[in-house]
Amino acid sequence: MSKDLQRKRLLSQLIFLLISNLGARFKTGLCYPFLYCHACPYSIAGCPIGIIEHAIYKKHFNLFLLLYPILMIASLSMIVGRAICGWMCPIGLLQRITSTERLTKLSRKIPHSIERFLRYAKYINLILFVFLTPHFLGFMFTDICPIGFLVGTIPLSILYPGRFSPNEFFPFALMVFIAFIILIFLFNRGWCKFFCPVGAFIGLFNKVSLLRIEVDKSKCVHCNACIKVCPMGIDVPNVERSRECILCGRCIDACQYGAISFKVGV
Amino acid sequence: MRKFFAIQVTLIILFSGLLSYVVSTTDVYDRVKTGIVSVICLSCIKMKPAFEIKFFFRTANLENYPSFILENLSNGIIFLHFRVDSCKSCDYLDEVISDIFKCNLKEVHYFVTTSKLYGVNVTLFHINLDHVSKDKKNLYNLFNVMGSKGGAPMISIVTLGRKNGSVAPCYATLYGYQKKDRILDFIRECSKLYLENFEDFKPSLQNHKPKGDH
Repeated sequence: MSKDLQRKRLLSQLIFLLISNLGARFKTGLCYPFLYCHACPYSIAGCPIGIIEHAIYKKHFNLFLLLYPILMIASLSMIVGRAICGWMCPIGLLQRITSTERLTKLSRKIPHSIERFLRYAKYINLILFVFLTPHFLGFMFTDICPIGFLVGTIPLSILYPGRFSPNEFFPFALMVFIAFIILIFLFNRGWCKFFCPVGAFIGLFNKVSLLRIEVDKSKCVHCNACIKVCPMGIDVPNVERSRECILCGRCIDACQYGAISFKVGV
Repeated sequence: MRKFFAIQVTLIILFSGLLSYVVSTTDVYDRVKTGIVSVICLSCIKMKPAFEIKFFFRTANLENYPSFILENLSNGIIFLHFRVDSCKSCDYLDEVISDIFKCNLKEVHYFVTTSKLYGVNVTLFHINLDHVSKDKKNLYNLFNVMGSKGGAPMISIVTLGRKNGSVAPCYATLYGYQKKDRILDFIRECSKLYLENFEDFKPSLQNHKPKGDH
């Protein structure tokens, strides 16, 4: 298996991790095209989920503030699709670290019906906790977001010991965070696959994005090597433009017959 | 195939064009920068600053106290309550403060009222930072002693303290959701200070320029 593409991907993920955390020097009014929290002491941009929640919280409605993260993600996703998740997202990098071959096998042992249901959880998460409950009830995804806990709560508690104390949502957020840690260690790309609301939104653009994975069926020998390595558990040769595909390129590396490649355009 | 490609290109132009329009013609970029990215989100971190009641004589940004603060100090202490739109702790705190001041702060962006508590007039200024003018927003910076590590909700009480033997305005600031008992304790402490020092409060303080360390 060629490691070159994966090295490039790792380099890209590290660069975006660094860029995402340049905020110690200066803050911008940009919005991350992936899930990363502006409560991180070094964040350089705003969390798209947080901005959406600000725009619609408790029956308020700020059209331009709502459109801003949506258009930011849509513009980029139209070009590269969910490669944002595979090549840019720092939480994707974290899951790359926590995932192992053993986990890939474990992920495949989940019954298909359960996995299919779980995959829809991220869409429910997006619609319910990012749009509906913040607007009508005031309960936000942010209140329990494990990414905020990981890159906001923990670093701030370490950097400023004794300066902060838990609020009333802390116990629930802690439970969600523990579940998140278990999830990413038990299931390969568990967060991306089942719960990430930003990934759910970006995934919709995989159907129309310029960049995609193409399988040359005349070269494919159905060895299933691509399926075995896919961190998102996609039936690569038989599913075109999957919403789940993060364009990580592991299937391209795994295919000894050169049947799979990146394609730009139609 | 060509048709699909045309759709792709059209969508890219449409989304990026709309994004450019939104960024160039509205204040969303600045709003995200100053209101979201530069101020710590207490909801995001699920914590509140654990800050003890500590009185300061000089403002957080070293600017002078606004004249209305000094004018109102002749009448009693000043209770400044800052909130933002998307903030669960702010919603909870609104209810607590409404209860203390016997008013309704729900959906109110700017509200002023005076109540007598612990023998002192307490003037409440309720300010939703997302909906008020720039000068009122600037009040937040005057009392935001934790800077970007602070956040909303934020409560400041301006009272009278004694600095080097002379009476001068001073304030303390609390962040995050606070229970009613704690806020009442805070008001009681500030009222006590006010009553101790009011006798020596001079009108010349209206031109007071804050100086010296806390």
